[in-house]
Amino acid sequence: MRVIVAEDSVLLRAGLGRLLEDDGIEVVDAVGDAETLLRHADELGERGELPDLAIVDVRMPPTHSDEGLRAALVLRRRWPDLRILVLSQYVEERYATELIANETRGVGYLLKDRVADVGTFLEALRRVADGGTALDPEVVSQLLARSRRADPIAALTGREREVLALMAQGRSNAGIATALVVSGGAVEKHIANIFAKLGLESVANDHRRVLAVLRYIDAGPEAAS
Amino acid sequence: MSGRTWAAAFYVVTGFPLAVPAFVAAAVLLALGVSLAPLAGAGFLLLLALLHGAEYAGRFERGRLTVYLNEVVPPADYAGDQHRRFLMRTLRNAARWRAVAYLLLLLPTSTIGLVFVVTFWSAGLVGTTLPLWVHRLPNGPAEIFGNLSAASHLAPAVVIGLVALLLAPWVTRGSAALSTSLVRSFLGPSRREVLTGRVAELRTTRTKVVDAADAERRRIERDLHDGAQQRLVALAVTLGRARVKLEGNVASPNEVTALVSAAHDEAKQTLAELRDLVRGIHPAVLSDRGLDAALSALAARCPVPVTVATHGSGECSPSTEAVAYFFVAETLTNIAKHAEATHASVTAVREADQLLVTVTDDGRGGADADGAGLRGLADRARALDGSLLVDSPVGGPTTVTVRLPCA
Repeated sequence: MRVIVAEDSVLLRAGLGRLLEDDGIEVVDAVGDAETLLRHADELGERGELPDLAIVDVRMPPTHSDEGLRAALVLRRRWPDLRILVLSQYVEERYATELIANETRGVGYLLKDRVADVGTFLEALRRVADGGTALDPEVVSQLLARSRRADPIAALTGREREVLALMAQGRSNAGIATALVVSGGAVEKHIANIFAKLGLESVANDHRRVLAVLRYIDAGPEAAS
Repeated sequence: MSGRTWAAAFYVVTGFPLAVPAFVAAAVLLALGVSLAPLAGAGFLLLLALLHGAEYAGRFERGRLTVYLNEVVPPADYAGDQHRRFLMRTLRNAARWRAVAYLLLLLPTSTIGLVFVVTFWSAGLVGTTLPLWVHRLPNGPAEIFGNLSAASHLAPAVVIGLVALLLAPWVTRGSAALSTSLVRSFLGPSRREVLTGRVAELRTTRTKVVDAADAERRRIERDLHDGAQQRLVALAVTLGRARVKLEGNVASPNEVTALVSAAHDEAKQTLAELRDLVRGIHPAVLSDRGLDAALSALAARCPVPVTVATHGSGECSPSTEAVAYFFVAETLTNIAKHAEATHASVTAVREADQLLVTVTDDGRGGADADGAGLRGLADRARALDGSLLVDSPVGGPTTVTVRLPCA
């Protein structure tokens, strides 16, 4: 896998680079601001050497507000094949809904803290690289709390709510089973129950499933656009 | 005729019988007081009686205005300067002399008012109803019109009556407005008094804001000291122990793994704590995406279900938005801690040049408006010329409202 990293903190940039290389991921470029990221991505893309994935920090120079997020949106438009993982010191549901406004495929939005859990982080990274979704648990819980469909969600059991949250984060059945330390069959049963209770059509494909769940809690592409 | 016009008419008509004795008393006391002043004692006593009486009469007049027209005029400053002698204090008080001027001016003003009101209403009533009763007079229309032709004069009389009747409400309210402005300018605080009061208020709010900023700095220092700093110390100690065990080659791999994973957990907890602390200082989403997004995030983090509705709140200054944000943050924290509520709602609405933010919950009520958190918020609101209102009867529901100027 080939990755471009945009992160203004030199320490974290170096740390991320080492962490990725330890896992055999090639860091083709590492930049410190959004403008350079866009320029370098364009150069790489025009040479036909577009990386598989960009890791982008939300807050970068010059204004230190949300240029990383805006750059990520530009990248998605210009280079639809480029997967994007946005990292941030805080996660906000508003940023998440902007990021997944048009497409949940190959996009991730995680707290920077998650990098510290190297295994989970790399798993999320690979999921995004494979065209999946990785939404931070905190974003998902904010989205669930803000959902206008509070009543059907309240009808779910505690375990089913956990499974729903993990689905919204973009986890596969196997990933959910590992996270909850249950069997794959149990997960499938929970998912079937959730879809039945929420009145959603069952979908096997992980990506389509994230979409269905997010759309249901009013955070998906249509609701957000 | 609307209630407001009735009230204005009563106000003007009742003013006149009060104005006559007020004028006589004030004029007599003033004339005698001034002319006897060279004789010291007696003259000054009369002036004292006049100046103090004027204050009470003024209080009565402001009260009458409130009762009839529901207009509140704050009192002028009758305490005046701090001269140690009672007589000098009274004589040098400009507000009292303005009250005397009011008592003298009330007569011409209310006379004019009374004349206009009575004239227009009676002309209106008589003129418009003239055709109904003029023929029943002992001599018929001739009683009024003499030997003029009744037929040609009746119509103009009715027209004049109609015009008078149409104008009468306006004339009544105009007369009341004239009296009201007299009360405002002679019994209300002068421009100088208003400015003095404003300076005192600004001085208080400024001190409170400085105090609040200091308290906030101390809180941040304490949070960092008790939280992140201690955790980093613990983390360094744990890593140090792991290092010693590795260097000494005495520990089992399991022991070292346990120490390193403990250090890992400590580091992650420190991160989470710092994140909360930093967000508490200023939420980045507020500057990046505005009040609506920041309030949504607050609501999403509150353990009690919260609905948020904002309308036109995006056009206010950053300091106004920050106060509104921290107001909602504090009230939601209070609700989660004390209210035992099952639902809360937040609205932020732009009304003219003000931002009105309301937080309501269905909890048990009885919130303490003097609690440290709410008082601090009230101080911050006042520093921006805003105001905070707590309505929390025991048993609920609780509504806390803050009104802030948008600019």
